[in-house]
Amino acid sequence: MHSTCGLALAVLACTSMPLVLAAIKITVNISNVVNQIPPWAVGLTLDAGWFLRNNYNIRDPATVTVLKSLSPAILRVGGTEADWLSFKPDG
Amino acid sequence: MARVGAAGKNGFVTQWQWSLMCDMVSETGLTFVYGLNARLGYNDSSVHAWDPSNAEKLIRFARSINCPVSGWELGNELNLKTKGFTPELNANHTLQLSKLVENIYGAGSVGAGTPQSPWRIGPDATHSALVPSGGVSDSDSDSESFMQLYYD
Repeated sequence: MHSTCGLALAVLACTSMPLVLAAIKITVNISNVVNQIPPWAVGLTLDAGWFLRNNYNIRDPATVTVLKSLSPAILRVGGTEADWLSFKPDG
Repeated sequence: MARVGAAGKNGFVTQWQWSLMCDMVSETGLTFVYGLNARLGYNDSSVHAWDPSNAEKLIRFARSINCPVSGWELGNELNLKTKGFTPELNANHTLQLSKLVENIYGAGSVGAGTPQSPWRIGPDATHSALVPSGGVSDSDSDSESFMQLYYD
């Protein structure tokens, strides 16, 4: 069985780069499973820039609720700023 | 390059911020992969050694508060020309990180992707295809060849 659909792919490589929009067509064979990934392989990144900017509440109830629904996913905290940050212990 | 310099200046992760992040991750039932700074110590020696002392403080603190870290990553998009890393250098630094993590978590207790036995994750590479057409590529080597050299 093949399922064909068209979708608009938005690629935002970096905030300093232009938004690239392209219409592409993907054909997916859904007649058999070729591989399975474990539940934790669902992952997302929270940009490490938060540590520099503190620009939103990471314990916002709506955010926490959305993330709970993805459990046991992995939250990767990193990105460009990772290579500019040092840990500063108290005291 | 504007891309790498987007952060542009050194900053801190405070103990309070780290604890808040751990609390949030614990509350959601997720686990946490954290990208450590691969640039520390890089310019302090001709051999571009990595200084693991700050990473050690952070990892020990994370352990002390039972932060659910399932993986430690070293560096971001290290195949970017502006960063100056070679696959050999990154592989060497990553081996150092592996030893450090094993020292802190206990011998043989690294690699299961759990908070008791975290992964050591890498190399982080970016694809030169992400550079817009007409733009100047800032990628020293494409991600595939960087990773192949890293594993060699």
